[in-house]
Amino acid sequence: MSHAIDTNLIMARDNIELSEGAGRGLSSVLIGVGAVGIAATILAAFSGDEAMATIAAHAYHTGVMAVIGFSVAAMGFVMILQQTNAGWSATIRRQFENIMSLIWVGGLLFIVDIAFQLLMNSARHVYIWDWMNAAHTAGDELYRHKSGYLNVPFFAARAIAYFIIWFVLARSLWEYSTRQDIDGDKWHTARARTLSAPGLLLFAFTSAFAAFDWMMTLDYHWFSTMFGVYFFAGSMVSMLALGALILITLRAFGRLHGAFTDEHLHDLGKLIFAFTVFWAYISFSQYFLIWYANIPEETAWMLRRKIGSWEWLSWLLPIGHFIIPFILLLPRPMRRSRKAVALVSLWLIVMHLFDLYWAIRPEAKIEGQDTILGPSPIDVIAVVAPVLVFIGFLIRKVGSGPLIPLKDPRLPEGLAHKNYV
Amino acid sequence: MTTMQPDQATALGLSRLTAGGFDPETLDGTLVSDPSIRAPLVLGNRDFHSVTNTICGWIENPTPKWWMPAFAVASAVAGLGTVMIVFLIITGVGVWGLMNPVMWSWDITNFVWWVGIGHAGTLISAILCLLKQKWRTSINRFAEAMTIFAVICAGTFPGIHVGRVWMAWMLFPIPNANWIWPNFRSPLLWDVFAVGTYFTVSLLFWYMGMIPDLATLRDRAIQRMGIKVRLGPLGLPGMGFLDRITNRIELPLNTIAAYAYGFLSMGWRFSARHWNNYEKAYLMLAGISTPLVLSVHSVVSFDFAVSIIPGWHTTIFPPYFVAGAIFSGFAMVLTLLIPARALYPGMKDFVTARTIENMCKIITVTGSMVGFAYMMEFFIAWYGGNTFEIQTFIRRAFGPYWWAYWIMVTCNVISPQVFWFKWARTNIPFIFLISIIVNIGMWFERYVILTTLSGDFLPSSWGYFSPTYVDIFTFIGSLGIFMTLFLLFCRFLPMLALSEVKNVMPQASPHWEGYGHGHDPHSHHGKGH
Repeated sequence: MSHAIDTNLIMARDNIELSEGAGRGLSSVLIGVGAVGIAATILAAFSGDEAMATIAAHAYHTGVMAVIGFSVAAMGFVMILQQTNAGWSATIRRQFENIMSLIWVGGLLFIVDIAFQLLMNSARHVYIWDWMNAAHTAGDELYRHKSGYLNVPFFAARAIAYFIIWFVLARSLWEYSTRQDIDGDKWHTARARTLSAPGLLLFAFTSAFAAFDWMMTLDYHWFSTMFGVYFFAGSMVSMLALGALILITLRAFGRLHGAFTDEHLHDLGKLIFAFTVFWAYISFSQYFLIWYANIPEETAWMLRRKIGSWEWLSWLLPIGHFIIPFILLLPRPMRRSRKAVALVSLWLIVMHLFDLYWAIRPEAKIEGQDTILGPSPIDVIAVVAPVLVFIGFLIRKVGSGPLIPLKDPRLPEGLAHKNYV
Repeated sequence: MTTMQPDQATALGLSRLTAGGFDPETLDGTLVSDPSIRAPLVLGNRDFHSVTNTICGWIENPTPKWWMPAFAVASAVAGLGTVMIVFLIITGVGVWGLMNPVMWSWDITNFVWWVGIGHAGTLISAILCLLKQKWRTSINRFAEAMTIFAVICAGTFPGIHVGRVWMAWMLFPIPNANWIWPNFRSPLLWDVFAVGTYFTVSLLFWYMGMIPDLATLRDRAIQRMGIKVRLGPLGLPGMGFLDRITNRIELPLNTIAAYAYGFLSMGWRFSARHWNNYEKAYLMLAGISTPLVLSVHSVVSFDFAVSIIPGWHTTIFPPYFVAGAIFSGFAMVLTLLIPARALYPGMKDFVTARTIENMCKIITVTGSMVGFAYMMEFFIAWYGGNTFEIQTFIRRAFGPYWWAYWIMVTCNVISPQVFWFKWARTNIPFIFLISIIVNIGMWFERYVILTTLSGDFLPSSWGYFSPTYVDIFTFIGSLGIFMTLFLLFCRFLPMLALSEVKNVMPQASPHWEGYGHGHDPHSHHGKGH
């Protein structure tokens, strides 16, 4: 072991800041391509037949849920780090704060989502949320029972409440962290810690109910108490993978030497691994309990994912979202290799998109028909476009300030972080 | 700050406070809220030698006065429990209050409760180890021992619950002449595997972690091999005549101890190679134990959740059971740790106010998770629109067992919320009280789940379960078995992991600059290593 840490070298400007305007070009390209993708989705939704419209709307909804999941999970992660007084992560926390602070992108894209819904149900009978369709719910005893919860005004009020809570929490955490960059007041860290305790409680309830509202109620007959945890687990995996990708890219561009070391990479790899296993545990438990009890009102949702081409797509989840990353991330050298972690992270983000797609897209159906609409090429564009817009803004955000919290009181500990074993 | 060695920051942070002059608001000085300071993990300006002397002293010094009476009571209660079990076996399970339709009751409540308590030890040793939570080193051995004893108590109940205990071997898939196999699709069989694996790995982890400390005890016992130890006085109240006899008896206990610890320490010689293997094995067992912490109680939750009984079948059961298990496990650790901390001299230097505070926080987190799950269950029961499910939940809260339900909610959801306030997390008698309340609440949680059975699908068969004295005394007896084992552990085995505690002291840093220097952070500055 090793070399002494030279703090002056690490804190040099060209190590912890990107040059002026770095990544702007790529960011503009991504936002542009994403915008074109969203435009293409809208065109598909309004030019084609009903099947095309409902497919495009559901696929776009998938992408929006992924984007919201990134920011919300990052906020949860930052609050966990603050609440547990984590020292190792002091140098990498800023990147997760960047992801967290872009909750407004998710909000804007969600408004487009809602606009989709509003425009389409006036134009034709295509619904993302079937329960909003009065023709669909007429005479439905189950809907009548739930209508106290599932009605448009309450749904809108909840959505606004979630976004306000997330925005206020993310903004406050961001302010504490960036103000400390300037004034160096160590008590900002203590304030962030104090906020994080009730913040995590709010996070748990809002993210669970958002998952209920925006994903589970797409089939408003179906229910699963686990669903909120399921959304949380998948979002954590993709958010950690995205954070790892940013950090590895920054290293590739000659930044964060000594600040994001193999030791931090190793621990980040462990967390990605752990949450991959956690996701598998949660989704297996959910599937397994429904499968074993075999009650029709619960199995309906799973059975829809076993029809036609959805059947083999369903097999991709346990293999691609669990077995492959599990095997790849299990050996220690893999978690300490930037290339390996970057590849697995990219793979996991794709798999998470697929996981959400699997949960949302089979709910696309045409009013009055029983056919399950299979995957379609427009799916890829509609799912990926919002994600590209988000990553475009994220690149801008990363370049807009220092890459680490400059005066965090735990910075020495973060710099000196070692795994030893 | 120009140059610094890795880990020097930690060593610095840990040593900064030990210079003394604590703020009275931080109790023993560890409850600092200043984010630039790490609270010391070991207090009292101790060196390695004094750590060894203190922890080994608890075993080597004469038996504390309180120990014998406590042991007498615990083992008497354990004996009562054993009598109840024997009575049950020779008479039949009819002596319990089980009836149709409540065919699972106190037996399974106790089983799940004990398994849950057995979660804290492995969580502290495995998950907190992987998360590098150094404060765990002062409580992990203690909690692991508790885990083992709790799982032993847990394992008893399904064993005797099957009725014909002599057929219990059929729980295992043993090839036999009749070619009869257990039902592999039954969660009851998975329980056998899950709890069996958990017990085996926890035992290995506990024992392996103890080997270096047992070798220390062996080496110290060898030094005293020639010295005989007087048996008395036993200190049992009202039995002075026993003391007069035992005062005359001298036993070669040090020689026995040297051989016993020597046998158990498996030839440990403190060589670098031994330590290398030890660290590797420790990390691997931590890795293996981590999924086990989740899997055991998930499988226990499957006992209920794979069924189609309203109130039992819900998808959040596995993580909800795991959170509840950790919740009750930490409460039990606190219940045992707080008296031990007061009774054993010097223990407060290791189990600091901050360690206790951290455990309180974990109790609040897991208690809130349990509350979250209760809420999800209630919400989805309503949202799902299934009349049976809705009625079951209404019956739980307002039906014949309403009292059990509200005891559960008060103890599990409301009581841990007091730890949001710092005065509650630092008031030791109050924490002790809450830890007991939490354990009562977690027992009632399982009871509430099981008495759901009383409202069958057929209202004509609805019934009300009442325990018999055998139910009650078997449960109390299991507490006695647990306490007996635990007191034996406190008396004969190292309660704190010597080597691990030393590892988190500032002296363990390769860049610690010797006694008298470690306290002054400025001595490190500008030296340029």
